[in-house]
Amino acid sequence: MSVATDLCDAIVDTLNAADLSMAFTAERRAVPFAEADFKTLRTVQVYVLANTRKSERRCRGGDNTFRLTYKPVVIVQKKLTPGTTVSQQLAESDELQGLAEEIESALALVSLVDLNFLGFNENQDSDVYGVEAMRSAGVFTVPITVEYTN
Amino acid sequence: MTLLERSLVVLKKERVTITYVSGTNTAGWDVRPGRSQIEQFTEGESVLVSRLQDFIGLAAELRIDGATYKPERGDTIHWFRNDVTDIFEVLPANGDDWFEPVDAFGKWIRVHAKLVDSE
Repeated sequence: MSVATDLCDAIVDTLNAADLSMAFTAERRAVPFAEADFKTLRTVQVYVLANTRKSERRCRGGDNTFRLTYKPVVIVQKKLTPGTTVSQQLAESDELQGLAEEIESALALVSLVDLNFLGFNENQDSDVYGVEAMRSAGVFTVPITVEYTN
Repeated sequence: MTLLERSLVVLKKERVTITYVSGTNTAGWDVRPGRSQIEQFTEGESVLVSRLQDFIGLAAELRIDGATYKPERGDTIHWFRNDVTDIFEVLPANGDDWFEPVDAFGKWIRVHAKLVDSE
């Protein structure tokens, strides 16, 4: 299999083996997006997608070498419980935000499939969680982009 | 009779009865199912697809505990059709409010909801 695929599978295995505050089964998705209906989202969903790869050429002593940086994304999603109060929904989204940060901690500084952890989508500002999906659909969404390099 | 009034007469004739649920309270409400479309939200690499469904009814006929009730976000609408009960959650549509008046006097209201379950 490809390095990108192996990396995604390693992330899935790492997350499924981790002792985190909420139960879920992470899975790798082949499609470039996670498409889910609301029924599925009644429980926490965690998807891992290969996402993007960056290639940098380096010349040393006349030899060309390539540095490859893989940027898989981990998506955490859950539909907030219908019919709950504003404060109950806040508590639920706080819990999910905590889970997203636990996932980041589980992946930080961990080398996978001979690739070194580099960081989380460096130099890119991103929303802490998806505001529009929360407002219009009551769905909590956090995409976590992780960078690994050889 | 104005065009709007004629339209509202048609709406009244073609209504179905749904069950409106707010917390533990339920009420029957005669509505005309309106716009139905697919919505998509993109968050990073994640694309969330939902089905929007509008329900149009007389505001005065939505009554809970003997009083006229204004729809609240998170309420649910249960619509039995084709041997299945589809459950919709009252949620905003494309950034709008979750319900809005249809006519100038707010006699009719349009409630926005999204399909969340089927039983």
